[in-house]
Amino acid sequence: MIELSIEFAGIRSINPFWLASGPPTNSAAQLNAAFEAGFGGAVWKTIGTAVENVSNRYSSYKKWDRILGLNNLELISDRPLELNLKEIQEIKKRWPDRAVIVSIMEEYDREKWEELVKKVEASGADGIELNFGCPHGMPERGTGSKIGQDPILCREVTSWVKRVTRLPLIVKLTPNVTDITQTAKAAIEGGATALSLINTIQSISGVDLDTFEVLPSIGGKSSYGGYSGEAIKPIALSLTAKVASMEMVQEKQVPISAMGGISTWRDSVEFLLLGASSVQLCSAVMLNGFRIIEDLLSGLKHWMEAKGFSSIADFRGKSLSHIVPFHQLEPTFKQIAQIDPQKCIHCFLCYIVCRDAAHHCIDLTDGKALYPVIPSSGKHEWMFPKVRPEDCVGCSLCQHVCPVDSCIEMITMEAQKLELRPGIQMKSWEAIGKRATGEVLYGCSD
Amino acid sequence: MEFLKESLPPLSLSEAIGEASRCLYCWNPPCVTACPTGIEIPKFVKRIETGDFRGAAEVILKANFLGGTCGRVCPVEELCEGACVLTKLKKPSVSIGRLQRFAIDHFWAKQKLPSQWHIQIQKKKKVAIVGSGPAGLSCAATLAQLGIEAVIFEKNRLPGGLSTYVIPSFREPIEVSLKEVEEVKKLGVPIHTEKELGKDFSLEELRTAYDAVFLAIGLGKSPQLQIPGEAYFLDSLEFLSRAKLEPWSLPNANNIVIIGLGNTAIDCALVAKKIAREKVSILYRKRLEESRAYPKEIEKVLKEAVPIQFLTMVKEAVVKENKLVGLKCQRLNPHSILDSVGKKEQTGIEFFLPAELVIRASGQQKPLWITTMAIELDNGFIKVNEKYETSLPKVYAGGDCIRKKGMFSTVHAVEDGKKAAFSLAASFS
Ligand SMILES: Cc1cc2nc3c(=O)[nH]c(=O)nc-3n(C[C@H](O)[C@H](O)[C@H](O)COP(=O)(O)OP(=O)(O)OC[C@H]3O[C@@H](n4cnc5c(N)ncnc54)[C@H](O)[C@@H]3O)c2cc1C
Ligand SMILES: Cc1cc2nc3c(=O)[nH]c(=O)nc-3n(C[C@H](O)[C@H](O)[C@H](O)COP(=O)(O)O)c2cc1C
Ligand code: SF4
Ligand code: SF4
Ligand code: SF4
Repeated sequence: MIELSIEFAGIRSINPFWLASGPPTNSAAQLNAAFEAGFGGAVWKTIGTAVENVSNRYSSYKKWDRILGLNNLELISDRPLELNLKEIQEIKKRWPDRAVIVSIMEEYDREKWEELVKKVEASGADGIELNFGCPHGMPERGTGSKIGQDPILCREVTSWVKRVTRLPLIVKLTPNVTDITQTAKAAIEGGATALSLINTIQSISGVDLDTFEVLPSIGGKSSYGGYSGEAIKPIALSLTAKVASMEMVQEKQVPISAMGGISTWRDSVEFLLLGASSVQLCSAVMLNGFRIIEDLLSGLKHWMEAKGFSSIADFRGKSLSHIVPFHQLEPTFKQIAQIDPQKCIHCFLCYIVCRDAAHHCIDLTDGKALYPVIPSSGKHEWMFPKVRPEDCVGCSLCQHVCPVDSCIEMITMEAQKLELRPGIQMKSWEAIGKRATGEVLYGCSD
Repeated sequence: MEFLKESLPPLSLSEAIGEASRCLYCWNPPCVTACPTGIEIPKFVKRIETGDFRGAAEVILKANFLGGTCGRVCPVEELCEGACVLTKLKKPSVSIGRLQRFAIDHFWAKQKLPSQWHIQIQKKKKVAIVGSGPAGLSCAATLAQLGIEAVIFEKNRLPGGLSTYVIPSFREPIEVSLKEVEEVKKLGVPIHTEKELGKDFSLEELRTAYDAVFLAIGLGKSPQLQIPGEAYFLDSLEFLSRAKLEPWSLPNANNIVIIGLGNTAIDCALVAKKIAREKVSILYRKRLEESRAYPKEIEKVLKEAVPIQFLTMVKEAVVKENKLVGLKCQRLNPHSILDSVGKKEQTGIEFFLPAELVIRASGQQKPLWITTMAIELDNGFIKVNEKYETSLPKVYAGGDCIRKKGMFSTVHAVEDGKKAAFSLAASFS
């Protein structure tokens, strides 16, 4: 039996897939449809003092017809607070087995926060999420990422809320900081029972080369927006892993609800493997509708079946142990590229990238192609790329650009025979650092 | 008229960018090697993808001044697209031809040739070019860009060779061919039409008046079948040329019969299909496997449901009251030994096929009149070396008239013209 249900900071949910606070969680009608489709929970669109939104609030970063990322200038809910609260109450009553969490945001004013929290408590919601992350509009009013970027404010506001609520309290972190563990720590110190991350990344999605306007153009002007969607997944994964690896998070077993670029079950599993307890989706739903939940559930279930997992807890955080500080990476581990001439289609992308950006160790040799390379010539003689193993550093760039599945393989070499530079037998990166300067230098990875 | 329109619609902006984005941006890929003019395909395709259409057109025109024609008429399955590496991944190749057409159309609609292409022509050396088909135009454009004076003599009323007169409009409308002619003129090349070598002037006269001569005279009409009543048949080139330039002059016919199954015959069938009231059919002396037409072309006639009678020979024209009414045909014995001369045992049945219009499409004839000049030939084609020099000093040749082997195609003629121009320039320096 595969059990997909989870318990997150005391909140029960029939599966780990939640709608993130955003346009799809604006109303009871939407949540109703999403729950009917199968979502396990939803974080209501951030409420607070009602705002006025701008028209044309999105722009996208596209590669031809594919949206890589979405840039938005949307503020918090622009519906009346009382209407939102009434609908929250209705939807929770109707769907007792789903997680209904309310995202809130107020100005930097203790009384306002307390008043809002009380109203949310009365609605019967399962939990509260503090939106400390909105990167546009709200910071100018002294809230949103303004609070989320400052550990002192983050701790203080969290503690204001904590004092007046018994509900599970989730603090949503902004990625627009230098060190996310600082704000995560401050939130926990302030009383957060759980963390969620990431909110959008501050962005400009593009500039119109004819009008010189920045996108989206709102009557000729634009502003810094928030970036979301598939393109931000790698950043979100890394921040999730960082927070999940924090000692404080592990000791107190602070659950993490992760998001940022999730659009498939595979993405979701990656976040769970890096320590998340639930996952949230916004852009993917905005671009495809609630129906994607069926595919998320199907994929997750079949993957768990194949791997022999019966619950989410069986694999949650399983990949965290594969992340180590750079200096603990094995310096004697070595691979070299090997090209399968039977599969090669002669695009020579490997050649050109190795020549110009790696180690100039792919030669072009002649050989016999399987098929005539140019139909009208019927010629079978053609050039083949071939790696010079003694010069290959195993960077793997060629493998990444090769368009043919498993045509270039990275072959692992026997470790003991390796020397990085002639005459110097490698032990560890620490050892190299010490030898060079007398102290430990860990190279930076970028 | 419907059949005068180009059959493939132009790519829209978003189609072009989408198609361009499929290209892998290979390095020195087979598609470039397969292009006889060596257009840097990944480069121009990527420029389309990023919206630099002028940059794309410059890449194409630098290698092939007749890129607008070639993007339409090239047998791309046999050349660049057939070699595209994507086909080896069982994916459709990048539509290089249509992207090329997109770039050039865009360029013509919006822009003039870049100024650095208009080189000051030095009056020191003068080249006479005979024939304004693709080979002649390409040679002239290249010479002009090298600063060498070139003059074209053309026997027809309109310049452009087969692109103007023969290649069906559904593939290349006449405007495209004439536009390219204009572009060549803009580079400073005068084109004197209705001036025929061998009639209005001799090769000797050209050789004395000019520093060099480039012969780009193409091929002739289709050869005679040597059967009674043949005078009632229409030559394929004449049929295509009338269909393209003056379609109203074609006789009304309920039954059109085409003799032959080469690329020209297929073009005739496709054009005929669009104008015939009733029936178009093809008679072919040999078997399907023996046809020299491109497989893609044969597919087209099959799709158009044009019946093809194989191993069928035309014995004579049946004429009544001075009008063609049909053909007397005979089936050939499929087991008899086949040879290129067609001396098959004529043992099959004879039958009558009604036809009011019969088109003789058995390939183009070699330029026979050239034998009257003291120039060395090779199997009827003008003999040249790798520098495009003929046996006569200062006389060069290129295009279909030298194509002893290989493809009769526009793009090869363009490459000949370009390369011959470089050889000519080198001989002057
Ligand atoms: C029906 C048909 C369809 C074709 N379709 C295609 C196609 O789709 N794609 C493709 O790539 N190729 C196609 N071809 C082949 C292509 O048209 C030729 O390979 C190409 O035109 C050759 O160019 P050229 O300059 O050598 O000769 P031509 O285009 O034949 O030009 C020769 C020019 O020289 C002139 N000339 C001849 N003799 C004299 C003289 N004595 N004095 C002055 N001028 C003279 C002629 O009037 C003509 O203008 C087709 C050919 C035919 C017949
Ligand atoms: C493999 C790799 C190595 C890099 N190394 C450095 C580096 O040594 N120093 C540095 O300042 N930036 C480094 N960068 C960052 C780049 O300079 C650049 O800021 C970053 O990649 C974003 O730009 P781009 O993705 O548009 O190229 C590196 C990037 C990559 C991909
Ligand atoms: S792994 Fe790196 S160094 Fe080795 S062949 Fe590939 S690109 Fe070149
Ligand atoms: S990238 Fe792959 S397919 Fe292309 S040439 Fe290299 S090995 Fe061959
Ligand atoms: S072979 Fe195909 S994919 Fe590669 S450059 Fe040419 S058109 Fe592009």
